[in-house]
Amino acid sequence: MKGAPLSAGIRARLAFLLFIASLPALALVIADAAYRYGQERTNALQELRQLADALGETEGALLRDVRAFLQNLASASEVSGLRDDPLACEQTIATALKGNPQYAFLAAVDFAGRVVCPGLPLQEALDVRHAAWFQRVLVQKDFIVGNYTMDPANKAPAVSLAYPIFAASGEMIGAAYAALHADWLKQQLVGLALPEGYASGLVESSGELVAAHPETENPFGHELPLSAMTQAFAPTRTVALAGTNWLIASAPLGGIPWKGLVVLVAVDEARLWRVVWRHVALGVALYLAVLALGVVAAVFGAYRLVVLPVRGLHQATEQLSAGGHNFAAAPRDEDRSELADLARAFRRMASTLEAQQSALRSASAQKSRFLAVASHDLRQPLHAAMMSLEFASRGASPDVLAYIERARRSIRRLAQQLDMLAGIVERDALGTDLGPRVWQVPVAKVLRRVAEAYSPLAREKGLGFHVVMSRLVVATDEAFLATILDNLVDNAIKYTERGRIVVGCRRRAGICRLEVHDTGRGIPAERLEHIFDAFYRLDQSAGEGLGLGLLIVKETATMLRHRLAVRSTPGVGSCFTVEIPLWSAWGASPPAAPAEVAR
Amino acid sequence: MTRVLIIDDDDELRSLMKEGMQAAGFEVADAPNGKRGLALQRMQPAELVITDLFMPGQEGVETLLELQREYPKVPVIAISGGGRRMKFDYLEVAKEIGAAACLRKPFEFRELLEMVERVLSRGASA
Repeated sequence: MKGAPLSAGIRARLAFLLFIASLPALALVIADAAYRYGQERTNALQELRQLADALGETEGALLRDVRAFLQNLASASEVSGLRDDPLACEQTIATALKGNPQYAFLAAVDFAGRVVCPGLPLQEALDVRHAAWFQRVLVQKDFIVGNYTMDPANKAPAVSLAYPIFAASGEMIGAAYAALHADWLKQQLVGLALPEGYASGLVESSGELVAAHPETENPFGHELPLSAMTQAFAPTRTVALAGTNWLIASAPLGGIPWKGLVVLVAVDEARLWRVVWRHVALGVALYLAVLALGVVAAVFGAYRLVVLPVRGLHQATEQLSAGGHNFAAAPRDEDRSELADLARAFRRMASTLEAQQSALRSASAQKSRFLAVASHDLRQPLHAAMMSLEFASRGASPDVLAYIERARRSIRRLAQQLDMLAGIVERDALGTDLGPRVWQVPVAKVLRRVAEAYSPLAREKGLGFHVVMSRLVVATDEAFLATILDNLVDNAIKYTERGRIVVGCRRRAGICRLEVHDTGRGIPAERLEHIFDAFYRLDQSAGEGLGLGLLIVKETATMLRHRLAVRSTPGVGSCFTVEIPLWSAWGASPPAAPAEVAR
Repeated sequence: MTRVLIIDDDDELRSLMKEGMQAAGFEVADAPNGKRGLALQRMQPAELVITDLFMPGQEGVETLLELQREYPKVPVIAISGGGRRMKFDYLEVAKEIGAAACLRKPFEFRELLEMVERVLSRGASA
């Protein structure tokens, strides 16, 4: 299970969960963006409103000045006496024009619409009878603001304004006319400081733009499209101009009872977005960064908190099913999580199983022992019966002999059945009674024991005896391994006259190689393969002992499935090795449960 | 008359073997267990011992060892009906220890008699 710390399954689930959990954060980022945009918009609208009002006020003030000026002019005696002395009137007006450069043209017009006193010399007599402003001033008999036109005199864009001229009697005899340079109006626009991205304009009711600032990249262009006109004249509206949306605020000119001229201030909506965008981008970036961090932390956290406990239990389960002996680690008492509950339940199950197995084993062992004894006890009488019949057959008549023979046949059959039964019983007994129980064993424990047990013996014989300790932990049955080691060391001491015996282990790719070296007489190559056979002894002079030692070693190693090997050089020494799997390797992939104990 | 000692924990069988041996002209001493058997042997040594190996508490093998130690010249015939224990055949163990011959139960009396005579004649010629 080495490799990725988490399986794809758990990683995918975690990532999914984290993503779901983080969605509110994302929603928050989006909501914040929306809120910010709302705020920006409100601010912009407020700004627009204020600017428009300020501009309207300024422009209005300007026009009020014009009104006052025209009123003055109209009430001048020279002007009101235009019928009597047009020349004097003309002179007055010309002087006034010279002194006021904001006017493109000044004139006094009589009741019939004839320009009687032009401020600038005219090529030909001008008749304004049909001009809209003239009609209006006749009707209104008050200051009027006319259209935005090309001034007839010098072809410059100008706004027409007029004030009625009254005779002493009070009747209207004409009007004082002024053509105000559109530029003059524009200057006021320029004078108003606009925040970046804002645009202002002065618009006539026909849609024509009288003045605009800034001149270039102005959304208003030269005239507002008709579709925008109605909208533009609402207090604040979003209007689509030249492909983008603009927020527009409009205001009338202050103090002038006329809506023919309107001040507009606009700001590109996209601009507002750009401000918000920065925040949104930052928010999303933060969100992603935090999410990534969270995922990494969770992956590692989950490894410790979820995967390790689960793997531990998995391992324990595998080992338990393989016949091992693993109750899994006990969780702390305070731990009330599902994993802890599972672990506790597992431990209970394992110990119950263990108890049951134990009970079964002892019951089975008892039964086996009983049956073994019984089978032996059953055979004795059989034997006695046979022998008795044998004696009886001596000197018996043929008839009696025949019956005796039949009896003996039956007894032989019975003996065969008993043999079979005994065979089965013993096979059973070996399987449950004597099978190895594999668990983790620190090699040092077994080594220490053999060192203590055999040091005196070795010393007596004048041999060096070194047992090299090891930190390795192996998967084996401690008692069985001790038996193997005891026999190997015993053997080594027996066959070594001088020198020393060394016991130690080497680690080799998941295996612990336990080695017993001696400087004994060695084993010739041709005898090596027989060395583990029953009662094979190199010579009879080696003293007491049944020669069973190595046979026991071989049988026990086979039962444990540990590989046994021997190397030897006659005259130099021998080395017996037992290969035992390391606990860490065995735990990761326990062998399949042994089907039958090897015989 | 050659004296023979029979050790076996089964009474019926032991008495049958005794009768058989007596009928064959041997002087027979018998004991139901190794301890008594050894005592008898010490009191009056027999020239041949027939002993069952599978007796309670591994007594048979120990008895054999004792006999070999104290009376190395007296041949011992080991008999066993216990079969195999721990995969180690008791009879082979006995051979290793130095029993002169082994017989697996059940056997016919005449087989035992033949073996006795063979063992004794071997000993006589050695």
